[in-house]
Amino acid sequence: MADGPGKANNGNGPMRIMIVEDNEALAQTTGWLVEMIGYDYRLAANGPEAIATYPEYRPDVFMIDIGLPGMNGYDLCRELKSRPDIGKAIFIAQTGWGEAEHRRMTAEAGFDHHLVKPLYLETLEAVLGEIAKAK
Amino acid sequence: MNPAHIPVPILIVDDLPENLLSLEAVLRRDGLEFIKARSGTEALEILLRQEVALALLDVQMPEMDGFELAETMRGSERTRRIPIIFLTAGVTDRARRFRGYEAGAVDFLEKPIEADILRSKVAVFSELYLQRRQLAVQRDNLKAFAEENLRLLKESRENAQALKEADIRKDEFLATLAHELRNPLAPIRNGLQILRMAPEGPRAEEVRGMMDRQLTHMVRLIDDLLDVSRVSRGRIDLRKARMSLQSAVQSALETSRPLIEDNRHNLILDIPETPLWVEGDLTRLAQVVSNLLNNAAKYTPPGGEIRLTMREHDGQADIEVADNGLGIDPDMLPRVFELFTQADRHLDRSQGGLGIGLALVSKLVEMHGGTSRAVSEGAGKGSTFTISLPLSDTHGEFAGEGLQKKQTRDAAPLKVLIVDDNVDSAQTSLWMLDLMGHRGMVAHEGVRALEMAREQTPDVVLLDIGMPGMDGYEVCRQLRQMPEMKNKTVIAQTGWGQESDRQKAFAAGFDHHITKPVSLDLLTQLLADIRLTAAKAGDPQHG
Repeated sequence: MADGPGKANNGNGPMRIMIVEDNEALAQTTGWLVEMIGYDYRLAANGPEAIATYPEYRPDVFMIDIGLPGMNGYDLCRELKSRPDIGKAIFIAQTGWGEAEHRRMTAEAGFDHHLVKPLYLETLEAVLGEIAKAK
Repeated sequence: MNPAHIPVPILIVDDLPENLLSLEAVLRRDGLEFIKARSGTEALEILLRQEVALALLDVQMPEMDGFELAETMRGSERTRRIPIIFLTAGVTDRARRFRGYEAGAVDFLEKPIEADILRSKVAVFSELYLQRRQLAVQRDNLKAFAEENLRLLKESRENAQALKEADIRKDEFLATLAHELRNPLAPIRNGLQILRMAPEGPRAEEVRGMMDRQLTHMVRLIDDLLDVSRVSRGRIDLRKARMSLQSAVQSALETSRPLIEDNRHNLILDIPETPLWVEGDLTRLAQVVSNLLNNAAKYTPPGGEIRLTMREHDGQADIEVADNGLGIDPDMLPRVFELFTQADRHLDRSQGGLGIGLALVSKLVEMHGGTSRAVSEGAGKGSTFTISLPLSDTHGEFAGEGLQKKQTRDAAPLKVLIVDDNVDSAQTSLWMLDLMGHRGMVAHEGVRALEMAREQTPDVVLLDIGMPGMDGYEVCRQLRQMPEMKNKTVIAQTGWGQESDRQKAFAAGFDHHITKPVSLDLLTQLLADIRLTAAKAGDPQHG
């Protein structure tokens, strides 16, 4: 609902975050949180939708749920990272699993960060802040 | 069965009845049984019917003589091993004897028979027969024993395998359960954080609605989980009454409609106008139908179709819930009603299932004397779940069913004492009462509750059962002993909704028993009823 107006990706304007999550309630509230922290967001309910919409939105950050139906988060991350137009986008895995093994799996798939659900606002703020600063 | 106790059958064949009688007279003793035949043909008929230990054959008989009979016996598998003793009249020439042995005789005895010799020969063959029979029995026993051992071994292997599988499924179930419980928590926490930053406005309203839905979902999940464990331990009681299945469907639709609408499913109802009466527990049957609808909604992509059909046939009522969703793999189909079965094992699917709903369906339907079945053409082809319940045959007056909404009337606010050791729970109950226009007060443990009751004389006591120290039952008993509290309303509030728990509460002196978490609607209704009764009676008494 509060999607960014599709500004050119020239480093101006708020950082753009694409949230890929099939749980609608979780997707929407995460979006609102991101917006409240001061960034722009767009939702995608699954892998194919994310792949179809990212070229137009050109996100700086992908927040991807691992347990997506159909194409899972690992596969989606690999697929996106293999594309030349993905640039320096940062990938954040969001999952219910927080053990070392799962962290290793997300790292192997190419994720830069691994956040465990449910999400703490402070954690989200810190991770996104760090990414914004590095840009 | 000891084979030694069964008489040894001896066949005697002679065309003269007086010979048969005298032979029997000579040989008769315990343990022998004589079967007499007056011709070769009759003897063969007997041999077809039963086995014998020994055959004593007269050689000279009309039609078929002894030798011919012996040859026929040797020609058949059934009779070829029966020992034969020929009885001949007078001296037998060598040629005839030879023919006799050729035909299979073991011995020749010449008439007049010497009784001692005949008896001892018969005794030898009887003994032989008994030994053979004993051996056969032992062999059969051994064989049966070996077979039994093999069967037991196979059975215990199967049991071990089943246990192992159940154990694995239990582990998977626990992992999934943890996820299922955490799934609604994630948006709830997000919602809280949003409300903290922006507590007002239309978005806050939306967030609160979402949190309410997620919480409801979670409560339902936990309720189902508790129910299924109670059903498995046989600790659920049905409150059966004559009811129409339409009312169960109606109630189920109220519960499931939000989920169906969220998914924009096309819900088609095919329900007869004439009520289908059953002896059932309305709440439980509504739960059954609602679980089937939720299951269909969960496994059907948005925009799909869900069809609920109800029909009557052969003294039974069928409720069928069909969808055009994900369907079920043939190898999963026989297990869909088992607990711990999850049709969807994605990594951490938010829409995944625990299989609790369907396990509960099958168990509750079973408790109503009905059956459940699932049909699917396979993955992607949709599923059809059908439950069949026996129709009730009595044609009685239809008793009002379900919770009837009563008019809530304004009257004097009630003084309500909340007793709960959970501070948050007590505080929120206080807020709820406040919003309803009643005057609430809180005690966090039994002794304090009794003090406050004595000082304040509340109209209603909302009493938690499971408190440390003095529990709710004890507090209630002591309250009832106070003259000023004798006629006040005491409501038990507990996590346990079993009939036995209710009975225990009523025995302790409670007027009502409600299960946590208490919904605002239920509490409003209950307090309104109490207020109404008090107003009608014109005094603080209640019914």
